[in-house]
Amino acid sequence: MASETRTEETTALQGAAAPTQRVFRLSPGYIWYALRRWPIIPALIMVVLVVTGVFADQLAPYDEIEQDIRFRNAPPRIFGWNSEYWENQDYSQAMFRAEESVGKNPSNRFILGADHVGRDVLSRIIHGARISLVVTSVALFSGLILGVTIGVISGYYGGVVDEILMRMVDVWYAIPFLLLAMVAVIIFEASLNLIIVLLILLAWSGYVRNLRGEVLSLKERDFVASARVTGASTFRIIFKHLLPGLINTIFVIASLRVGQLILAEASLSFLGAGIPGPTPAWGVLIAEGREYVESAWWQTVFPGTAIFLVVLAFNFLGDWVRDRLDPRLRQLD
Amino acid sequence: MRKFLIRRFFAGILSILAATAIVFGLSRAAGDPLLLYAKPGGYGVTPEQEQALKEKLRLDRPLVVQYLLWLTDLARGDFGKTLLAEQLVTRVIGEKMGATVQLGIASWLLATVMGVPLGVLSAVLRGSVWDYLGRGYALIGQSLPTFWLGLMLILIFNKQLDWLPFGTRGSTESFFFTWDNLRYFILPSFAVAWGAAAVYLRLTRSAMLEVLDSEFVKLARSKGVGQTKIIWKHAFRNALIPPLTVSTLIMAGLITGSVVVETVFSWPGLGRLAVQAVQDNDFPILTATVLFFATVFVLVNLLTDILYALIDPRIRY
Repeated sequence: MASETRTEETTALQGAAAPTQRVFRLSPGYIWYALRRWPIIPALIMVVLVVTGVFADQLAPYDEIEQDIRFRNAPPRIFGWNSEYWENQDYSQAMFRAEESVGKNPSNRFILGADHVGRDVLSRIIHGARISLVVTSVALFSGLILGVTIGVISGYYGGVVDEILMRMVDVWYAIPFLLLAMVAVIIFEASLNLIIVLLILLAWSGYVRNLRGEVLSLKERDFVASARVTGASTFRIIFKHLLPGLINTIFVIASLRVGQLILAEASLSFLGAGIPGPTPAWGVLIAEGREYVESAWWQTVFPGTAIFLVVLAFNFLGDWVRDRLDPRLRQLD
Repeated sequence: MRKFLIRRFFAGILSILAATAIVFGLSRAAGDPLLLYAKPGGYGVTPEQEQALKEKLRLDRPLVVQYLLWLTDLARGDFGKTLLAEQLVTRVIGEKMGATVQLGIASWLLATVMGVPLGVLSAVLRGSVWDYLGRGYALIGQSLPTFWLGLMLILIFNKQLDWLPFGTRGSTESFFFTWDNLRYFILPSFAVAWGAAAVYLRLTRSAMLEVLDSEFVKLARSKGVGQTKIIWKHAFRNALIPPLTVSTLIMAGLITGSVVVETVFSWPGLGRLAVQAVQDNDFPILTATVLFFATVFVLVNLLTDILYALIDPRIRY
């Protein structure tokens, strides 16, 4: 893809301004060029995700767990939609007046509608961002450490160790993950910790084969041999001499993995094998809204859009990182 | 080559054994299967009946013995009976397997038809609007959660427009290839194919780009071969290797990944059977489905290795 990026660059530059003129003006051409050159929109989505995840309590307009059965399946009020519905509900008018009298701003409530027990969908989506963020990042990094360790050990030591570890990976690939996860949930009961463990189990396998291959070729190189001759310990060889050469691959695989992990977490939660309610994980929101998909589409459409945008952003960034760091891994997926 | 395949074959059998052993062990740890008979609030069983049941299900033996006995039964073709309805597991699975395999094949065909031509188009017209559309689709295709896409398809095409049905798979008795039967396949197979087509598109596009840049294509061009012939005869046939080899893996993924899509569309297949078996702790069905899924996976992997060597003679194991 290297040649392709180059052609893109040149055409974009011609469209923007003459290459000699290196002034950063915000001309439409330059904006178009920058949007194609840098992952600006995905980065924005990620910033929004992180900010909403971290400041969920401050940003959410309403409590994400508090139920109010009077507002069950109440439609969204965003952009003044469904104003007829909201004006015809005496209780909602009464409640809004009551909220206003204690200094709250009721206009923020039910911007994206309410779910089947009258919880605020927007607040639940915002708190769901925090869960996605925590679950995915913990699983990603733990899985990375586990996978890299196994891959490096397998490649470096070879022989019986290698054989055992690689067969382990084969076996792991042959197990239908979703079924295993569902059985595990029945044994240990659904919880945040369990889903993290399950996602770690999903995350580690991607690194092993690639890193093993890289270590196999790296360890035959002269610099490793000379390190060994000068008396470097195995530990030192692995950390000082091998790992720096693997960082790119690790980073690329990890960045392509994030989207899959988010999707897996959502699928598990959707199947009822993930995060237990009333915790508002995005997959849980969709599973809960599934029965009302016809009468209350906002319960599934908005959380699904959130998952889609976040996964899209991570996949885009993953592609971008891969093209930058390691074009050889292009066919990895 | 032969040595490699034999090695892979035995490694595959080992994988299947280990996978079933893990699920077998876990399903025993998941709680007493006898609770199926004596659910809280049910009629209950007497202690004598309980003892008899335990002996019948071999629950009084150690776990390892249970597993080995299950294996010997398996070797004789005896998969056991389902716990509650006491039906033969082979029969139950046989009934459901058809639906899953059919859906798998339909989605695979759809994914190939969607993904491969788009990939070629995207590579040939590199940098054009088509290319950007293709690459955009490749990105979006892998970012949509299957279950959500399925729900949205149901919402739009079933609930709102009332064009397409879902919920069963039509009649199995009459002639199969009629609109009445096939229309049940459209929504679920599209939901599955959406992501798989994106994988095809990516692979075809990058393989095609690589081939179009190669020496023999340049030679063909300089000889004055027409563009159509270059694309389809010289380039496409060579670019086909990556998508073709991956297609077996995709096929396996479609079948084993049926759990989610069958739940969304209430498709009467193995995936939903397995989900039900997990919820009921009906371990004979559960282990048998895992056995089936693992076998499909291992066989397909083996097939991919063979296919690789057949298509590309440069590859020698």
